Amino acid sequence: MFNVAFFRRLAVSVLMGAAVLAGSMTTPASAELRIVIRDPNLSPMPFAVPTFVARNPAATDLANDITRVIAADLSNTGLFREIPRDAHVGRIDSFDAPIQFSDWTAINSRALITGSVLVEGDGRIVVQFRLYDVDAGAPLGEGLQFVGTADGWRRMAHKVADAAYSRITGEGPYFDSRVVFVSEVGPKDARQKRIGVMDYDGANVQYLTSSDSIVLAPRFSPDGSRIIYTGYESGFPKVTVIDVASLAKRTVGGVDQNMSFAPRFSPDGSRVVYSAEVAGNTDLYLLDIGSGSQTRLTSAPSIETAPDFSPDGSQIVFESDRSGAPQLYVMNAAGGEGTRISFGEGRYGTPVWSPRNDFIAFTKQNAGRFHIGVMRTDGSEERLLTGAFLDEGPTWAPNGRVVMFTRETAGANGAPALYTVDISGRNLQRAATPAAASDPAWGPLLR
Amino acid sequence: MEKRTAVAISGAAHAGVLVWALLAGYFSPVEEEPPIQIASVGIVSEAEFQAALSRDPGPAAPTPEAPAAPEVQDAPETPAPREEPAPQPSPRPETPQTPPPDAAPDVAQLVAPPTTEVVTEAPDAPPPPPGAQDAPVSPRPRPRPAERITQTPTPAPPPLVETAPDVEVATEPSPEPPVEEQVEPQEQAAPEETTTAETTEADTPAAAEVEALVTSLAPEDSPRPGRRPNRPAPAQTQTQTASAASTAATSTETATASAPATTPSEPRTVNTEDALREAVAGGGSAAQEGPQLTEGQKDGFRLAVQACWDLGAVSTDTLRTVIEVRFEMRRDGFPVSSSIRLADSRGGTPASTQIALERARSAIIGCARQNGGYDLPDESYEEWKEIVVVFDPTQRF
Repeated sequence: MFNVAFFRRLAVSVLMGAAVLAGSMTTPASAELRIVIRDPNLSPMPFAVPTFVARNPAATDLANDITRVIAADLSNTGLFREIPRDAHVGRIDSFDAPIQFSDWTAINSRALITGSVLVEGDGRIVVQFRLYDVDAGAPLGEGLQFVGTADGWRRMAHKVADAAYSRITGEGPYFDSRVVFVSEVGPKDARQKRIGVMDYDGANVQYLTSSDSIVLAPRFSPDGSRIIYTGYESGFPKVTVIDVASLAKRTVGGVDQNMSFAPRFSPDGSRVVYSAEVAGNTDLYLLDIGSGSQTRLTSAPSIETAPDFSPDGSQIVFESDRSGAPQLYVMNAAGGEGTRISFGEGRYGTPVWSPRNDFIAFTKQNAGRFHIGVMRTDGSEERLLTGAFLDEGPTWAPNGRVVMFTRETAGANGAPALYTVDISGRNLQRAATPAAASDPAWGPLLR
Repeated sequence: MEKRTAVAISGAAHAGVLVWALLAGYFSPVEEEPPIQIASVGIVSEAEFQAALSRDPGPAAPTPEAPAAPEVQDAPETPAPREEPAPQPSPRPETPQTPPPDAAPDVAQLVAPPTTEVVTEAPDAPPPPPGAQDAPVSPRPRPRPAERITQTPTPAPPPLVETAPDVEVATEPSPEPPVEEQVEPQEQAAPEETTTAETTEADTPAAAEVEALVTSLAPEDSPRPGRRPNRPAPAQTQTQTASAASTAATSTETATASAPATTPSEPRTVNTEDALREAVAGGGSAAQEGPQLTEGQKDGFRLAVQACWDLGAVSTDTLRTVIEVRFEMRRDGFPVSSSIRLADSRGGTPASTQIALERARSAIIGCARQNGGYDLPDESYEEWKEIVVVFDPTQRF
């Protein structure tokens, strides 16, 4: 007969009052406002790069070309957005003139790159540049000057862009680097392949081999002076090293007359890890280039291939089907069974260790699609960056921020091409190549 | 006498019982149960049942008139199924015919990459423009138009430092902190250009399309609402009540009356974690003078800073760095630039933390400049005169 609702409300009120009282007793007195923000703006940073000042008439065209390469380098990262020159309010007529930052804030430019180009009497060119933080109204870092030959003007442009990129983002540089790849021409069932080398942006393509034999999976040595690949010059797959300067080739490693393939240099360039098929079983082998001695690293009855060293050379990540389907494993560089690190659905392959030692990039095939993905070196935090009919063979930029890979289109007329993607999964772009291309491998920063 | 007392007690008891029964609703009319539906049931024999089954159904019930058939009109010409085009060899981006193999490697131009002799150079930067110092504290500053190109020549900077040829560049940025930014409000002179909507290819197509659609439809900018007018009445009531506190009844009434002013009346949009943080960190502000900020006002400040928090061009390490920035605010809604400092950080390297702090600092100062100061109520200044902002981008990477 008691009014239950009344007593229920009374009890709730008492409890709430007690809770409030307890809360007020335990809450520290504070006179500050605390705000948590979790959603940053990730749109590209607008920047302005007025045409570099030509310090003499001979430098006019060069100044324009260098400026365009710098702008393209930064814009292609997806992290920056160039403000068109037509929209510029201010003009840079002299490299040493003070900057009127209001001219650049007026067009919402966050960064400003100025520079000058001089062609000296001996043909050498001098490029100067400065980077400004428009918001702060101050230079960002010191000014730099590069001197080089006229045919190296693209490298100087890349170096300017590298400096600006690194100062603003905090990432390492990668524009002044080259990529080795397999150029492919001809119909799909009769492709002719040869090894090509190009600037990271597709310029200055040069070919190192003829197209009279098959070449696969070229990789730069750590210093960029050599390229190792799987060659069929003898009609049989063999690990081959070619000297970039002299084009001298030699076959290395291998077990008797068995197939050897998928070679990778160690970070110090003194060793090569590769796969070899012996008596129908494919395992990993380690070759000491200096002594020629070889060590068998795995002995499982399954197929072990696609090895790659960790940046410190102490570990090797590789692909094995010992669990029934290709998965990724990490083992000590001295050999052993290895520890499986991939556990997702599908098939994993072609692992590549990031030069920053933070991620491993890989190819994944699942549900009829191919993906390029990254995961931590222990297999955690797996993320897929791409998805297409056929994506495979990732390679890291020298700074570990960008991944290049091969994407092949479907159909009889399908052809492979090179693509890049930011490690965040944004900014997927096709790399410019003169013909179809596959198997890219990013080289080190040029010196 | 005793009998009268007994009668009184008995009467009082009966009256009490009657009152209790009255209050308890004992005499209230009892809700009648809904009447039970009763259906009469007859018993029939099997013969009667069979007879009933075989009986004619009788005249059919009138059926609803069927709607008239729609008038047949000339049907629009049905497009003939498009014939699959006969497979035709599409033009290939590459040479369709096998070229003759190269007799020799095409290495005519193959040389080592041209050496760029990078020369160490540290030319002095031109002097910063005038007015790059902290603006003095002033009453609510007025937006001023952006400066335009100067018409008068400015003095040239000092000449470049002599370079040492053929020396590798030291590309480390200058360790010196950037010049203190000016806090004066500046009118937005040019609209923000269209930004690129980026989606991860691995994302589901539907999600990507939705995101692109939302991005395309979202307004790029909106005018800032005007400053909310002061509300002195509740504050005065609360202050006066706190100072007087003469009687418990008065205090109770005042507290009740002022409760709506201190209770968030706007719908909350913060998540549970934020609410808990605010409850822990801001709960003690009840002892401050003036009314507390509403959740809407806090959200307004948070959104204002967030709009300028730009991490579009930072390292992945920076995207994993959480920093806690503490700074002081002036009563006119502008931050004190020199007071912005790193209070805590986690998940990053020293370099990424430094970049994260610079971006946070730029957001705090830049948004105040763009908006003519943050829209915070003057009467609650004691609560926001010192602000801690946690910048946590980890969910975006």
